[in-house]
Amino acid sequence: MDAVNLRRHRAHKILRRAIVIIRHFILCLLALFFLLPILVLFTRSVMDPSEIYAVPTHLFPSRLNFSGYTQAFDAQILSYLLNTIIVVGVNTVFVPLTCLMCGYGFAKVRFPGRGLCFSLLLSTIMIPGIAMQIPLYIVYYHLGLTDSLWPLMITAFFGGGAMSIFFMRQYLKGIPDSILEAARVDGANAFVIMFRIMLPLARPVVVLTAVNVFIGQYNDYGTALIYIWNEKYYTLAVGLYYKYLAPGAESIDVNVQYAAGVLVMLPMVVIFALFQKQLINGIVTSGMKL
Amino acid sequence: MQPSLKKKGLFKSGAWIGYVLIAPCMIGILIFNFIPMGISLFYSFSTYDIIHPPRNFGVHNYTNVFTNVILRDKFFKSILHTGEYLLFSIAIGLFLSFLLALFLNQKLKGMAAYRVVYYLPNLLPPVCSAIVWADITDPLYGLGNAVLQWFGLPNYSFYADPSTAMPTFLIMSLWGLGSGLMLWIAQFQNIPDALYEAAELEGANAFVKCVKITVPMSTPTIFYTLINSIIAGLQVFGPYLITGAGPDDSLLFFVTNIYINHRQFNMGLACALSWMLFVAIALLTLLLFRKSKWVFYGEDM
Repeated sequence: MDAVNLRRHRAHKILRRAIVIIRHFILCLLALFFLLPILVLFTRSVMDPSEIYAVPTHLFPSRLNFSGYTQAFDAQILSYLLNTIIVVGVNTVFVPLTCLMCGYGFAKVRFPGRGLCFSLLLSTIMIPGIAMQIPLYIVYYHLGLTDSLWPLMITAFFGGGAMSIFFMRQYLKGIPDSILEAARVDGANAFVIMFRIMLPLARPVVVLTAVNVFIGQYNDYGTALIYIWNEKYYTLAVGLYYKYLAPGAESIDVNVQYAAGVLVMLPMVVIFALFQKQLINGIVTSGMKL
Repeated sequence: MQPSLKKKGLFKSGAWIGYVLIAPCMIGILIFNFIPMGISLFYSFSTYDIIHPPRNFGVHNYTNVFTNVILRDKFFKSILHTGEYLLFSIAIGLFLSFLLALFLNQKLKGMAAYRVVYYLPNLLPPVCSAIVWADITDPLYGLGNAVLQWFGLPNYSFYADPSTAMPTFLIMSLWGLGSGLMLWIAQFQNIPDALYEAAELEGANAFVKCVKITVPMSTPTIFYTLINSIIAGLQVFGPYLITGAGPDDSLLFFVTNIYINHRQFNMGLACALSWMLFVAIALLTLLLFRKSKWVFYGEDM
């Protein structure tokens, strides 16, 4: 009786292990699929330019050639990097802060017209970005902000857009009023409450906002394309566009293009891998409660 | 809760703080959204080429897309293409990423690493992504055809042919699946385990649990994905960096059409088209919100 049970148990164990292996196999196949563009980017960055155009295509280089990296990593890319650090830094610090402020106002303070203001804010999600380009150009022009880094940073001081404020508000709504009450009884004013109580409690969604802002700003070449024409203000995204993709850029060796791509992508991958858990947590806790 | 707060007058007397707190974002949307939208509405009723001041005021930009043969052709083509993409992106966002998330929502060693890998294509900066995809889809030396040949399949023309350009773009968008995936996984983690345990006690199998618990408990994500797909899908720009509007305008989307008019300094027309798009998005979104009784947010709301 016991022997039968034991055998059954063993068979069950083997079956379970087989299922785990099959699952890993499927997951690996899918991973291969998703990795394809990145694999191409990487392998071609270390290929001889002539081999990239070989027919039939070689996926893996027959000889490693790192000249792409040494050529891509020039003074220009350092200047682009510096601008990117300024733009991304300002946005990543100030968007979560102003966003926390507005989110707190909408979630926890009662005042006449709150609902209307929030609806107005949400309605901006529906405005097609492209519809704003020329009119926004005129606004920036009159504010004297064109051809500087300002068009890439100024919105950071105004809440950073409806979506991030929306997520912040949803999260803050879940914080019990009793905590705020207690703080008020102790004599804390709204700003003390915001920084000393809300900020630590809202950490997951603050991190979510910061990471989202980082990724969005880092990748944004469209804004810079419209408002900046002086090369000293190029960020990595737009610099990469002008240097390697815009008409007339074909003269550069292709492996340099790919190497530059790898260099530009690297910080994003690091950030994402580091904050993956917080990102999911942030989404879980703020919820998509429309 | 409410009456006692009112009695204390804490919120009422502090109402001004609310205005101070939301002032930055309200000023922000006024300067960066509403004023530009107003300017755009004004231009949409004129002929405007940036160099000369707007002239020739009237509704001609709104009527020309129906009466002028060339404009009408582009207008309806772009609507058709945008519609195709929209349906496809909703299907991907709702079904394909849901199924994949179900599969990824198991307790397995190394799952976090798989999630990162699946999300990676979303981290590819758009400019890099354009370089890579232009390469992969090159009919002559691209990896795409190499893979097809490896499987013994005939060559495909990808973005080189009007009939294959749209399918190529739709397939390419599959690589962006990872972002929707994150939302679904987050949602699944929000579903209490107790529900599944109770169902197991009643003898429910995996399929029943999925249909009776996972799907109904995921309605916030379904709704969010639907709204987001519509707002983003209608604003699809296509692989403009790779092929522009595609061979024979086969990848001319609504926004691509706006962009091209914009580049040709037909600002009045570009603004009119933008406003049409805005109204369409607003109407669809409102309709969805009106019909959102089926969304279940849990007891806490």
